[in-house]
Amino acid sequence: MICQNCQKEEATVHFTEIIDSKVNELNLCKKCAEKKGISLTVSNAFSEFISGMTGGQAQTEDDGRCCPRCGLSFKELRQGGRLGCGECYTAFEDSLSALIKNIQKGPKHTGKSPPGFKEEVSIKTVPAPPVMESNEKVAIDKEARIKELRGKIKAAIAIEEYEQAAHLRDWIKDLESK
Amino acid sequence: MELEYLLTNIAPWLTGDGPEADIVLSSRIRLARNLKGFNFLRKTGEASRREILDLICGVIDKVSPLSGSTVVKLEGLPDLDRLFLMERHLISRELSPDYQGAVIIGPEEIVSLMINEEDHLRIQIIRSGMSLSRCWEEIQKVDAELEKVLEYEYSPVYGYLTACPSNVGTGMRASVMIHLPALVLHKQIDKIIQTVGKLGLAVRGINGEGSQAAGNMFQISNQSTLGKSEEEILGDLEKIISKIIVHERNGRRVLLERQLLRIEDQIYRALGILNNARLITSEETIDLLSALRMGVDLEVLETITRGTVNQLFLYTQPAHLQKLAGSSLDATKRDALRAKLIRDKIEKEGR
Ligand SMILES: [Zn+2]
Ligand SMILES: [Zn+2]
Repeated sequence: MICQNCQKEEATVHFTEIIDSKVNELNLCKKCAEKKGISLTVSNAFSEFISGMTGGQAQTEDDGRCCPRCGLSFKELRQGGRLGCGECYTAFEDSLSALIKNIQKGPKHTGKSPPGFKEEVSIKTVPAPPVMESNEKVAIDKEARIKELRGKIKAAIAIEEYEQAAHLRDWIKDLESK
Repeated sequence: MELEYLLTNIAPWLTGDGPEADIVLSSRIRLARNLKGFNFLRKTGEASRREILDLICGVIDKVSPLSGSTVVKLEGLPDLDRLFLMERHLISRELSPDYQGAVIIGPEEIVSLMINEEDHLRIQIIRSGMSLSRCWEEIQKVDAELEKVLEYEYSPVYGYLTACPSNVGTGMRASVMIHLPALVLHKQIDKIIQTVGKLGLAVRGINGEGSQAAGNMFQISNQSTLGKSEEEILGDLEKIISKIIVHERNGRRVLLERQLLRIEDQIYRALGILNNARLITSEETIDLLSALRMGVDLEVLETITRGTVNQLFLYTQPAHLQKLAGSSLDATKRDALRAKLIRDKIEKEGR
């Protein structure tokens, strides 16, 4: 993915911003992101991980970090006890997980999910590419397959399944190298 | 908004029927949901909150269990009406006009939606008796239909995302209102509350803790919402409540076998006061009604029905009295009207 700002560098920082309750997806290179004053927070570190970059800044307990979407600060979170948006669960994951462990029965949701989510969840069990008969067919299928997987990465990021997205990315790499 | 129509409607949790209705007053399930694309309430502005309100109000026609609903916005609603809705369990104290709070009241008050409370949406089903599985069946239907037309904040890891991490996952809070006069009389209630707490459930007395709870009524609900499925959470809650019911039944049998005279005395004294008082506070009323209900449930009193006692619990509360009177009343006038209402109702029934 190419940076939306300079249209040159590879976009490695992905995030959503909300202006007047409109959601904008931004995909920027590291330089442009820094120019825009977007610091690499926890969730951006996940995005970096997906784009194959490493070295997301380590987060300490109170470093003045904010949720990249709603702007809730760690201090505010501690004061009100309420989150500012859905993204806060990712932004403050390290602090919340201790709290959740304390008050909840388990770390993961096992109950019902919204309709349509079951299909998206199926990205978890992406079947291996079928063995093709002719080389030509393999080439066509490979391209289609990669396109399909790219779509699934997008879907995975949208639902914050970063690990899954990384897994899918490895798949594409695998396919491309064949 | 005209709320008067509710005055003549017998709320479904007041009918006094359903499973285990001699001990369990009502069952309720609430689901917390937030809309995708909006911040949670503390990070929204007025414009977004109005948008959320309009969005949800705009889809209720497409949700069949909600057809024929009434929308009540809290902005501009008189305090008396707000209190009236609270007494009917249709809104919580937290629902506020400052946050563009509103409630959608479904047909017969069985299903209701609170908008812009702590979360964008709180779906509620409330029914008489031990009816958790029925409530769950019905609330799932409402939730499923809403999910067809609204997109919720959801994460495969944390489930339905809520403003407070204590609701995340299923977003489900199930609670049962239970009447435990025998366990209170036998001084076993504090021990039971402790045990239930250790099992991961929350127990709240009405206006007090343990043996001090008004009317010997307790609300028991699940505390955690993540890590177990809805059915598992409900199953755990049901299992523990059925044990409490067994204890209460045993306690009542012991009362009948060994202390019949004492218990009859208490019941008839309560009836005597309720039948004759000219001024009565709501605190005194709730304790006497508890004794009256025990009399009905133990079949000591046979002229009064459980439904009547339940309705008196509701209609003797301050906002209901004033709605019935059609005007605001000071404390003394309320106490007088309350006493008259009870006398009339019991006399009518006793005939
Ligand atoms: Zn750039
Ligand atoms: Zn946030």
